[in-house]
Amino acid sequence: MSKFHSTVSRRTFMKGLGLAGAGLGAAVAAAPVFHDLDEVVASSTGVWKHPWFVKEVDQPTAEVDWTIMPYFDNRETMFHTPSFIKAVGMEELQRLGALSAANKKTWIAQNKPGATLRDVALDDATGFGFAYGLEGHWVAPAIVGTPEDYDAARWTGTQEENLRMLRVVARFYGARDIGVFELDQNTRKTVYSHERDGKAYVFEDVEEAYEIDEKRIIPYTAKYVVMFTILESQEMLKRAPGHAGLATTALGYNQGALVGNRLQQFLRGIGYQGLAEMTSNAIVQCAGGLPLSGVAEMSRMSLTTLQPEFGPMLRAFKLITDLPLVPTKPIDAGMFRFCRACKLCADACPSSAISSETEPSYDIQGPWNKPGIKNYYYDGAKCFTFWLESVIGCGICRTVCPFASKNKASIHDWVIKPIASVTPIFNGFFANMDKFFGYEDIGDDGWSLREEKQSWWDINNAPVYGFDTTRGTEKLQ
Amino acid sequence: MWLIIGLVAGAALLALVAWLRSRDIKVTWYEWLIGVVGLLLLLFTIQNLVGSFAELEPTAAWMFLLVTGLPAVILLAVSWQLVARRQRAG
Repeated sequence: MSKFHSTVSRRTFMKGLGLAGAGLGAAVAAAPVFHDLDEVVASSTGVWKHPWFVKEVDQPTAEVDWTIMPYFDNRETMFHTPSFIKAVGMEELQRLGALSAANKKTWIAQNKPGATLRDVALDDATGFGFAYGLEGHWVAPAIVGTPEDYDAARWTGTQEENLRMLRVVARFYGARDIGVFELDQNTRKTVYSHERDGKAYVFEDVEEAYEIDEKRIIPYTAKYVVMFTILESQEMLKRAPGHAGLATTALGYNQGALVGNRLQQFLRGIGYQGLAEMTSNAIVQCAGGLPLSGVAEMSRMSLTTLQPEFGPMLRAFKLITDLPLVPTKPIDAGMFRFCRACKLCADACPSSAISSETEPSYDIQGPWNKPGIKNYYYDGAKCFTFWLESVIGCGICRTVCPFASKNKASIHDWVIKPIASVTPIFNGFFANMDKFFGYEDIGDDGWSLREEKQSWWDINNAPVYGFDTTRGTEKLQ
Repeated sequence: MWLIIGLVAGAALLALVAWLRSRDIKVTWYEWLIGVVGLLLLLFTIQNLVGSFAELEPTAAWMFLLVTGLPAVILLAVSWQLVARRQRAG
């Protein structure tokens, strides 16, 4: 055949045109519906669907023995100075305090990546609004009008309608997701026995919650605990323990307090009670509430849980309400099971505070741990000691967690997470690959090398607040 | 972006089929399979390469080129060679 003459017949050409047209038509028909995986899993506003590889289950993936679980006193954590002193001694605290102050100055002078003058200023300044003036309240202050003020009846809806409504509101105010669990004879133990200010939480058969000198009262009718999450910047947290990571954490606390206050006021406005956090990390333990409400699974880090899309790169808050809500079931995405084989956080922790045991157990490490969970209990004294030796908040464990991935590369949400959800046999391999692919870039001193290699200060056009609020949501105009 | 990639890949495949037919070249089912798997792996590599750079993970990006890109190229080459060598022999 002559190579200058086309061998495509008229028939074949028209067939080709037809096929191409059909293909284009199919592509265009499908294209506007799903632009990416996020839109496949997101559904209409207010209804929260888990990513497709997440299963709903009846019990959290971390086993709980309610019979041995006590009510936990919030003053026992290492964040409560008297308890830290009890654990390490006053002399050690003073030494660490002096070291912390000295390190700060030294690193500023050395221009240490992540601890320069502007890093410190960034971190400290972000605290404005929460620690530095924005309060939370146990009982809603009389700010918004109640239904009575408008001669209206209080809002009534089904439990499903109410949850949907609260999600829509919470999402608008700044929360990423909310989950709900109901307080019963067992789950009441997720409420602290005492708050850090010394006041006891007491359940009583009353209509309205109140607060007096010694105690904060929770009516039995206020039995719905709403856990909500605030996103943090993965890019900044991956620079732990540099100050950028703490800045995004501080911003999270800010947002959490704002959202808590607003939700509380909204509930007041529709005629219901909302008992909100009057200080940070109050009322209910997050590591208990999040697995119970299906927002996350327990993790080896134990101080932090794992959410299917964002891993540990978010912050959680809560309030208690009497608005009838349908509880959201615990989830199983194979994440707590992944921790068994992974151990990257334990390996990376500079103070070896995280357990390296393969199997979780009920054995606690110290009074900062709450008994009753088959868990990887951590050493709070070692952890907090390193916070003082480095930067308050550290977060190196979160930096190296394989679930702390973004979603631009399909490997995370399309391969690793779905496979880990179904079977554990590749978990060890995935954990090794995580290191091999350079996702954990840790120096000899335990600090992330990310800031050194690519300074956060040089990132142009980062998303607002440092995170992608459209991830897994309906991208409305 | 993926719409365009899909269109280009689809069109290229159609063109390949037409060209093979015109030369009367036979391709077995397993040669197709190896080729398609190689192509999918290549697309997977490209997506993760671009995505990793977008995630500010340059090390991961280059690793994808090595770990999945190389096997993709090998599979495509194997598929091509299986066909070509049979042609030469036959």
